[in-house]
Amino acid sequence: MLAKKNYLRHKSFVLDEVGATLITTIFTFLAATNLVIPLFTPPTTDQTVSYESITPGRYLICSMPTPTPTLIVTIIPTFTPTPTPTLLPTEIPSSTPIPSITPTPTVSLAETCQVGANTIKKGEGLCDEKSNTVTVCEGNNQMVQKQNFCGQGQVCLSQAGNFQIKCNAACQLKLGTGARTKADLVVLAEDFNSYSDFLRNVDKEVAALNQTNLGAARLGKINLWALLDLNQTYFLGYNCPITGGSVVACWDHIKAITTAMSSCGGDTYSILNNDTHRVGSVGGIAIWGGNYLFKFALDFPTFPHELGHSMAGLVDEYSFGIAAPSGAIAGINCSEKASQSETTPCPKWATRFPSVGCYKRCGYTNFYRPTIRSIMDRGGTGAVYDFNEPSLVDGWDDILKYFQ
Amino acid sequence: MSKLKIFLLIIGVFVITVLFFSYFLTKKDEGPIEGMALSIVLRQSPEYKLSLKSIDIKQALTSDYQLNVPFGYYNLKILTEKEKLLLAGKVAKDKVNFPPYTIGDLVEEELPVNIIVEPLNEIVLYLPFFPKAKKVVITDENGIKKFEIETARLQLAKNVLIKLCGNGICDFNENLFACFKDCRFKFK
Repeated sequence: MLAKKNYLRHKSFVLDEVGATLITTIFTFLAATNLVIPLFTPPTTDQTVSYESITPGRYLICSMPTPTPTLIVTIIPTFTPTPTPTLLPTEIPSSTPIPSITPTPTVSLAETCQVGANTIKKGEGLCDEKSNTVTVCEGNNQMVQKQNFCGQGQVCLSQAGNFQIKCNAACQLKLGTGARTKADLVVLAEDFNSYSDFLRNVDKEVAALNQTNLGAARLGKINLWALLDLNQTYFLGYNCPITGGSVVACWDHIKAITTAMSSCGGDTYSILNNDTHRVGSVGGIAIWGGNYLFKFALDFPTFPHELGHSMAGLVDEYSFGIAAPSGAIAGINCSEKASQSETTPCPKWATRFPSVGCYKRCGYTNFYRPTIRSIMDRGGTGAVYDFNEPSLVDGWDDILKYFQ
Repeated sequence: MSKLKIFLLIIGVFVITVLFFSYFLTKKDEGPIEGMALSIVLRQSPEYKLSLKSIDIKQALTSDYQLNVPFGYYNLKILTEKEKLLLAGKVAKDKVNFPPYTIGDLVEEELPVNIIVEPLNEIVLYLPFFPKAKKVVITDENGIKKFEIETARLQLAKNVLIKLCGNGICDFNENLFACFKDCRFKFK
């Protein structure tokens, strides 16, 4: 197991297979019981603890062995009893309306209820996903409605042809590992009637993100959660007044960010509307910290474009149709100053991004953009999924620099 | 006594020592209470003057406040009585409105819009709840203090910790002895 190497004066030992396995087992035990954390790591909460195996090899005392016996701590921000970041099955049967109950005497009436043509047992019931309400059989044909039946942080799931009540975590992880060291983006549902429909559309958003050039390193710093709460509305109205103008539609930002933070530990949010408040060809609207998307726009680069605003602080590169008023700031991905030619980088990017250009029109008609097309340019014909280099580095990398 | 027995004895003593000390060390920890949030709502005037609307401890998750804010922001700090930093982060102070994204080819003059920045009317914070926290300090981009909130008097109800045991999460201040049902073995 541990064989002292006499010829090494600087205290080393050799760990063989048995020793390595034994030590790994001990550390795994300590990690799993949450007892080792206060001694070996900062006091971070752990939901799913994994422990890297110690491999056989030579270890120098007072130096960190390789791989080091550090704990990999991942936090699942839910209150659920089983909050492992597993994905939901892609297909969740939609809610079945509760048929009228006609009390018909059965053999074991005390232990059953009649639901339409079905006889269900005491403890079984029906879930209404929209309101997260379970109508549960309490025997003697008594069906009782119970809200939040599954407890805080959990929701009931409806199942076609099955009356067993299933519960699941309200925050469903759709991208990332769930580790708390990542930025948490929460997708909120508005006017959806079933979890399966909502989750199908969230999958489209994830696919759009993966289609961009954000890459594994940047996307690896983000957890994307889908909050299974179909009972909330965030929309406030059309043509909402704001300082010096109006916006085509607006939503309750305070409610949205509060819900995202308190329910899933979110840092930012995206509301997905089931096209019930659609405004013409508007696919999405963003403010810093959150955005509001319409379902019809998910086949386009809408979701990553709006995240470019709400998370990375990027500005639009399509034309506002006006020149910049005095004092207007170009932002991360636009330049106030031109270069000698379109293919020469604008002065602000010349040193750091020598491969970009300087093309007239970046939001304001007298500002300049780094590439001919990028995802921050207009949608429709010619829309692309790639962010340009200044957007990636000065936008996304900067915003995510404190996450791992 | 064989070498194996001696080794197992050493390991046994080691495990017992770790169990013993970790049990007591968890009690002295300065970490946050998992699943509990210090909820603060601040009002903000158009002149960026802050006032406290509400403060509460809630059973909720919290944000990390580690997103780097590219526009106007406040720095947040949670400090102990001895000014030890428990959390540092940033929160946006402005509502930055971007123009809508349209699908389809639009006429350039169709949506003459631009970025509009206005102060947020309200700032909602869901901060990790540190039992040892003394205050929350809010400073502007230049480090000038804008607001300070005393939190030392805020205490959890006595039964809250008991309630947390059983939430399925082996919280930082729980261990196998303190909350077996949350911290039972979870080998991967």
